[in-house]
Amino acid sequence: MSAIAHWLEIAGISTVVVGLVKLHLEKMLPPRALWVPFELGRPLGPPSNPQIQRAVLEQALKLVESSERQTLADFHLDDPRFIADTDWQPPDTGTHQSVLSECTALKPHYQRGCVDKSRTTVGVAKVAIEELATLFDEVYAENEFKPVRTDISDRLMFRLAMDDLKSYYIEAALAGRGNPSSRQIYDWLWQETLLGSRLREFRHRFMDSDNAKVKDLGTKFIVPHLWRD
Amino acid sequence: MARLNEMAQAQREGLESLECPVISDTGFVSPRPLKQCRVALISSAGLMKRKDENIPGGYTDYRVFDDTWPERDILMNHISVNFDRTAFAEDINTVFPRSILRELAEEGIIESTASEHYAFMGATAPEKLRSSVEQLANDLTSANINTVCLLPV
Repeated sequence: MSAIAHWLEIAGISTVVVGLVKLHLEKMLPPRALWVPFELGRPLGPPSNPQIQRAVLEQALKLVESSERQTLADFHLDDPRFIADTDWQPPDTGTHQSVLSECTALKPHYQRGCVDKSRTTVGVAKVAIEELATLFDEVYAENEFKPVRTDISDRLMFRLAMDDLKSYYIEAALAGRGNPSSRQIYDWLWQETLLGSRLREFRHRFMDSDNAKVKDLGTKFIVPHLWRD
Repeated sequence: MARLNEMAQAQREGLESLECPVISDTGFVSPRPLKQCRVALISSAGLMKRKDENIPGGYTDYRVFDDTWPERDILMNHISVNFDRTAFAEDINTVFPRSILRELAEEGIIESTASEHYAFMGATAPEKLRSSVEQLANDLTSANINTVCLLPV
């Protein structure tokens, strides 16, 4: 994004970058930047906290008034949602033999979250979650499966299915009482659910593949660094 | 936190060793009073409209979102698994703060918010985006936008 800022300024458009990795801002030296001390993935900071989000945006935009080239300012408030919420409890899903069964158990939680937020981030695969869970279970069992979409490769379909399944579980986890940190939600997803356990298995299975694209999928695009084994 | 010393070692090493190109051709727009800023947002979160085609690997174009496009029909199609998605799931403003920008316009802190905002696919080599950025600059100028806030994830 720093490169985009450089090029837009040539076109006469003022820019400000809200950056999460200070080292990259220091190397790329965009015309004006605000470093924020938040997790990757949330440049405006904590969810459901419009005060901090607005403070970030206002401080960033004020930098267009700066006459100093390569201005790099710091945002000084930390993200209160980085701290674990001891009141939060993950959904009680019980024990399951299939991801489809686990998804079904999570459905009331997921649906409550959809109603509360009036939105869902599930949908990139453009296929019903039950169908995605079934695909996931079939691939796990190494059964033959019928392609669920014919316009994209099986590999891309499977990546999108994983993204939607993870989003479904995240939204189910957010539907309960409390304000969990991302770490709490991901610890639950990766360490306590069947989906997480099988995704970690998939990572190793795919990394052992002779197919370079499948190997790449396993190596980079299934499990985040923090939960890799 | 995005402080490098608080990340998993492999992720920290990846970010530390990431090659950052030196941008030799750069501009610097003279300071502009905030009250005169007409502002658009640019995200690198690989955002897409629910009805649109998925964003393929190596995509260097950008997607356009009306300021009034419903939040419920904005999805994240980013390829990376190494950033938090729980915040976006709970609150789209953590990534794409259109409603906060509208507040600033309504209160006269900025002149106005753009009628359209934009999203690229992050994790793309910057030099591959150059021609798309030039097109975007034309779009912004045509729309009379003089300021952008870039929001990497």
